[in-house]
Amino acid sequence: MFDRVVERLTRRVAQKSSRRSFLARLGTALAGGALLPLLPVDRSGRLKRAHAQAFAEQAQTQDDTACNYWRYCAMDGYLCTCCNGAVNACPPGSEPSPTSWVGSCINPDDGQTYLIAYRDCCGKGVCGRCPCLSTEGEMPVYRPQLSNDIDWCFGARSMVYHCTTAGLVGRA
Amino acid sequence: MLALSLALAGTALAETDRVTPVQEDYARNCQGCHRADGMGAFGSVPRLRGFVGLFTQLPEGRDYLIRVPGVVWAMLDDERLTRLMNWLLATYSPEELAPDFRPYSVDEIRRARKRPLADVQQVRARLIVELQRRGLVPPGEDGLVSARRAE
Repeated sequence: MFDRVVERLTRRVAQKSSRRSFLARLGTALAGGALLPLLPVDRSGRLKRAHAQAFAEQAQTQDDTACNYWRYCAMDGYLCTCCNGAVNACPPGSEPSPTSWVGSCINPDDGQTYLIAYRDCCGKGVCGRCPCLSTEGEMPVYRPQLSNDIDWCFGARSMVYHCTTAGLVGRA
Repeated sequence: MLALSLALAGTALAETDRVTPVQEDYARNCQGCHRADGMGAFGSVPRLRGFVGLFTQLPEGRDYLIRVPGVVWAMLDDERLTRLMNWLLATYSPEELAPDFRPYSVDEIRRARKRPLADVQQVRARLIVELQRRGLVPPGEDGLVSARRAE
C-alpha cells in the first residue's frame, strides 16, 4: 500500500517537473530563507531605541520632580526628588540599595544615550509622592530580572522600599 | 537663562565618560548587582573584584562561571558574551586567574549556554570548599562575606 502511494507520487513528480524547475524553486527557497530571518525580529535594538526616542521626545531636562524628566524613561516608583532626597541621593533616614536596575535614556538636549542606574532607597516606609511608571527596557514575566516593578532593595539592610533615584552611570 | 542652564547641564554631563561597547555590555547586564567597581553586595551578590578569577583555577570552576544563569541568559550573542566574560576576568580579577588560563572561546561559551546550571548554589558551595581546601581562599571567605556592605 505504502509502496504504491510512494511510487505513484514519485512518477507524478518525475513526469510533471523538470530538474530546472526544481532548481529554480530551491533557489527561491534559499534566497527567501536567507532574507526571512531578517524580517520580523529586531536585531540591533532598534525597537528599544525607538521606545527610548519616543520618551525623549516628550521629555524635559529642567524639572527632576516630574515623571517626564529625561532620566526617568525606565522609572517605576516614587521619585526621591519629591521625598526630601535628590535625583542621585536618598532622603535622610533611608539607605541606598547596593543593587540597582541599569537602563538607558536619551537626553533630548544632546541626543545622546546615557546609562542610568535606578537605585531604590530602602529602610524607611514608602514615600508615596510623585509616583511614576515608565517601562523602557523592562520585560516582566519574560525576563523577571528585567522587571522594574519589583523591590530592588536586594543587599540593603531592609527590604522596605521608600523611593527611587536615577544616577548617571555613563554615556553609551 | 536658557543658555546658562544648558551650559550647566553641559558641564554636568561632561563628567559622564563615554563607555566602551564592552563596558556598556557590563553595565547593562552585570553592573546593577555586581556594581561598577565589581564589589557586589554583602551576603547576596558575590564580589567579582579580586575573587571571580579564582574559579578558573578549578576545571569545574571555569565551567561554572559560564553556566551561571545570569551569564547563560544574558541578552547578548555568543561573540559579545565571550568578549564580556574575558574582559570581566581581565578587569576585575587578573591576579587570581589560573597560571595557565586561556580566554574563553566563542565555541566554549556557545556550548555552555546549552547547559545552564540548575543547582547554582550547591555547585558554588562545593567549589568554594575546594578553593578553601587548596588554600586559595581563606576559611570562611566565599566572596559574599567580603562583598560591599550597605553604606
